Amino acid sequence: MKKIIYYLSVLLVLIITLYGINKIFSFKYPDGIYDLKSFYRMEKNTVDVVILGSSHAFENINTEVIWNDTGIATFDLGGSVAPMWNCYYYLKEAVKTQKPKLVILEAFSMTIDWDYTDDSRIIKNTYGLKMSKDKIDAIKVSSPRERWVEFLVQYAQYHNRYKDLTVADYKAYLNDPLMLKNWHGFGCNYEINEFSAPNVYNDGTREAIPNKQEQYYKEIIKYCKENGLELLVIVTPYPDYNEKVAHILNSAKDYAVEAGYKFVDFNEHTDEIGIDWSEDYASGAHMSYIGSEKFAHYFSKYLMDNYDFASHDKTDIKYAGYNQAYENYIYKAYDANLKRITDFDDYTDAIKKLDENHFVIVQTKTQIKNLDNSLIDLLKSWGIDCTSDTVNDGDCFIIEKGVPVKCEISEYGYSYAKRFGGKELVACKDGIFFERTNFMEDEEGVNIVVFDTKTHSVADSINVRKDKIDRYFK
Amino acid sequence: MVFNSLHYMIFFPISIMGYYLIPKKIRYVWLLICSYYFYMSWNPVYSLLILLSTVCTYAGSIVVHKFINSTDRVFAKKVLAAVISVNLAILIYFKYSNFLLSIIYSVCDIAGVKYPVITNNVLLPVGISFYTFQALGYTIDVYREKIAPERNLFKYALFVSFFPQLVAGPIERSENLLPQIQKMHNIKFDKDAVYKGFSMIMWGLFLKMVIADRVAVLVDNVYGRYYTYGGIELMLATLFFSIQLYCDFMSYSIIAMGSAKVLGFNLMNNFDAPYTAMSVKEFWRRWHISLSTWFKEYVYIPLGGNRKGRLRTYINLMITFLLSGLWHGASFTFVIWGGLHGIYQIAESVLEPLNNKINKLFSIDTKCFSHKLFRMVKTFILVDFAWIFFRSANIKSALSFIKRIFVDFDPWIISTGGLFELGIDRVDMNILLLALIILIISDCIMRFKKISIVDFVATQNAVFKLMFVCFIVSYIFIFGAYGPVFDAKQFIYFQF
Repeated sequence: MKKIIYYLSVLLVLIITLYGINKIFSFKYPDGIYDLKSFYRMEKNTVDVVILGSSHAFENINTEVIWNDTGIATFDLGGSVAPMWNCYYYLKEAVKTQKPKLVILEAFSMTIDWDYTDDSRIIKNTYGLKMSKDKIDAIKVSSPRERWVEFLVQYAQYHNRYKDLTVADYKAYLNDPLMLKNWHGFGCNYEINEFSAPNVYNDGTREAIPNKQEQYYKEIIKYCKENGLELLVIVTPYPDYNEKVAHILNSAKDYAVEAGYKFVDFNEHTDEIGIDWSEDYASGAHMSYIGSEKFAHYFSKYLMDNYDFASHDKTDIKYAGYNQAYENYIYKAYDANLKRITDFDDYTDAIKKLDENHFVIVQTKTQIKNLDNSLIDLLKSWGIDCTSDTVNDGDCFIIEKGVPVKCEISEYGYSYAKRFGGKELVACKDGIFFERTNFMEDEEGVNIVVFDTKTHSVADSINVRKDKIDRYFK
Repeated sequence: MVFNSLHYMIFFPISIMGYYLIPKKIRYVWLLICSYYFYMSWNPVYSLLILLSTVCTYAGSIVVHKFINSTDRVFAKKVLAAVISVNLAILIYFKYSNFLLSIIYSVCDIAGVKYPVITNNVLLPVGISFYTFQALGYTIDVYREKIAPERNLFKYALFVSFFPQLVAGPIERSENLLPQIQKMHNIKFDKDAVYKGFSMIMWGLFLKMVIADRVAVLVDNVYGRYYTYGGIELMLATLFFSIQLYCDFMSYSIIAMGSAKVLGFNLMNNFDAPYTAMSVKEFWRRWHISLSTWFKEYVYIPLGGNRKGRLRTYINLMITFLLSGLWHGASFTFVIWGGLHGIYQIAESVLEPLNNKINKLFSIDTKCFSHKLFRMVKTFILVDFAWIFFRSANIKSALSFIKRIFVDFDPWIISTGGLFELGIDRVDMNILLLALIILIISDCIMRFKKISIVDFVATQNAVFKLMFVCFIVSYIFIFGAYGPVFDAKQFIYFQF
């Protein structure tokens, strides 16, 4: 009897251990696996619109702003360069728990001619699915026959990630619960790059959709027809749009229209959207937060004008997550706007006008006598008494709601320490540390860290010497 | 099908289930089918070879036994010679024909004789060296009347092809394995034996997947391009090769023993902490025990062993080790490797009186720990040096390799971190070091407590046992060399 108990104990402990190891080591990509995980967490039958497609879908269609504008609950259920076959299985998966009034298919990825994506995309676009026949079918269609076993035995793919593990692997919501707990798949880009408008004239020429893409595009249309789902096929606007893509999408439009569904190529509506190619994009394919917001306003109107949606009551507890997600987006956008300021005077104005969700940590990395007058003026404007007795090398001040407080070194050795959502912010003579990253530049001058208490993150960090701002965002 | 493959992980449970569920009297038939399936997963056609060897030695043994008791003992000897010849001929054809041809061509070149170039492109059947020796050992045992011939062809075929030890040993003795096969209908399901068997399999997988396949990356990298590395890297690669070979080969034997254990069989132990040996002679009592005892019993002793004077003993020793080297591979590097071990043992014997005089003269305590450690290290260095020939592609490469160790000695590489750029980075090196510590502890337990680590852990308290099992299994799962980044590396001794 004792031996049986022992054997069972061994088995139990092994199962628990291996389960824990699997949880830590499994892939947690936000562009294909984590969005599905978030989708499964949605309450049943609360999502109005499911958006399928590649990163053109989930980085360009701002679900939070659409919610705020319309009260429509949308979800970006895309994957990295997700081909049509992966979109098809995502659609099948989505309707198991939701009854969307509209399925939107972002059609860019169907223009890519390939039978199989690369390994990382095969993993990203299938591993998030819950184990089912559909998942097995998805893996089989996504990978060559001789490699099915390789991808079906998931653990063999990620067991050797021991060198790549990060804090996100150990903590829930990838260590960003504020952002991801109420996530609806939208991957916002806070980076901005300048582009020029694509010079494309769509003369209506048709080019064939690549075979396998076409096959599964038709399957998506057929599935929607058979299950009474409304489908809208769109193409979001992007700088790298070209004629070949336009011609293939012309063929895609034919299929959609033939089936009685709408097809809209928003590359033909960039003026109406108000696209500013100098700030609306982070890359040649993906919008910046500014661009996504702009597009979301336009797209929201399109949805309300063309489909019969009933806006949800924003006080409905079922949709509290959408409200929270929108707020989170606003906080992040606020911080992103702060980071865009390069002029010293504009920056000092912005710092002075920070809302109550932010506070500033100032650390001097010099003697006061070495500081430029403009910096001394800045410190004085914050109420910091700048004399050689009051400000020394390594001194630290916290400015909350405009009131500066000098941090004295405590008996623990640091000047300031506080936890925000499990993450620790510490200021000491060696620097300003957040999540083990030192935001203090080791150059003479003043280090300024703006901390966002809503997003639990460093909104901005700059080092100021004389009147020159060196921004290094870590 | 290798032990650390998905195929085996599906095959083995099925074979166990069938074994314990079908009627006991026909168990051997099921195991025989499983064994042939196992072998045919390598190459179906070569199963005919093992069948040929089986039938030849089966029939030959029966005939030998019939005539051994009669007046025509000479005929029995002739039949034995014929059986040995046929089996060795097959082995020579598949394994040594190109080697022999190259020797002939070299002689012709020296003599200035023209010759047609013939190359034998046939693949080496997996395990041929092992099952051939196992079958021949049986036949010789029958001749020596150590064992009665097995009349049931299927049971005998199972003895030759028993899948746990078919491809890379241990080379079983007929008096150990055959009686177990004959009585297998009496084997009952024993959960302790099954648990121990699986524990041994886990331990074997740990040695193979965590240690052997990990060090193999560095070894392959350095030996593959030795001419771009300095002495320290070459020494490290040779040290790691000794670990790779040991863990790779031992893991196969342990998994074989564990698999057999689950089925209720006890195979012979093939390794007994060989790197703790204090002399090369002792090393061969601990390394690849099944092969070394085979050569001792069927080559060294028939040659006269140590019964015909000192010189003859040394000659017999050299012949045995040269043949042992040749058994490992059809190349002069293996012959030299074997020859080195023969020379080591002769030297040990010749220098023993001098050694004793020196110890007496300087009052050296030979029983203290430091002296034992010195002898272990000395033995290890000698063995490791010989491994250079074992691993090198040819003799010239081996000699060049050795020369570079001294001529291109580069100790500064230790401080520059260059040692972590040979294929194993710091993280993997730490993983390896922890695993090696466990291996060293295991060998010390084997040496001083004379039990395996599996048996040692089994005698501990339940909590320790549980933690150890979970640790080893987790270690394999996380750090084992498997998945798309790795190929399931073949066990090294498959090539023999």
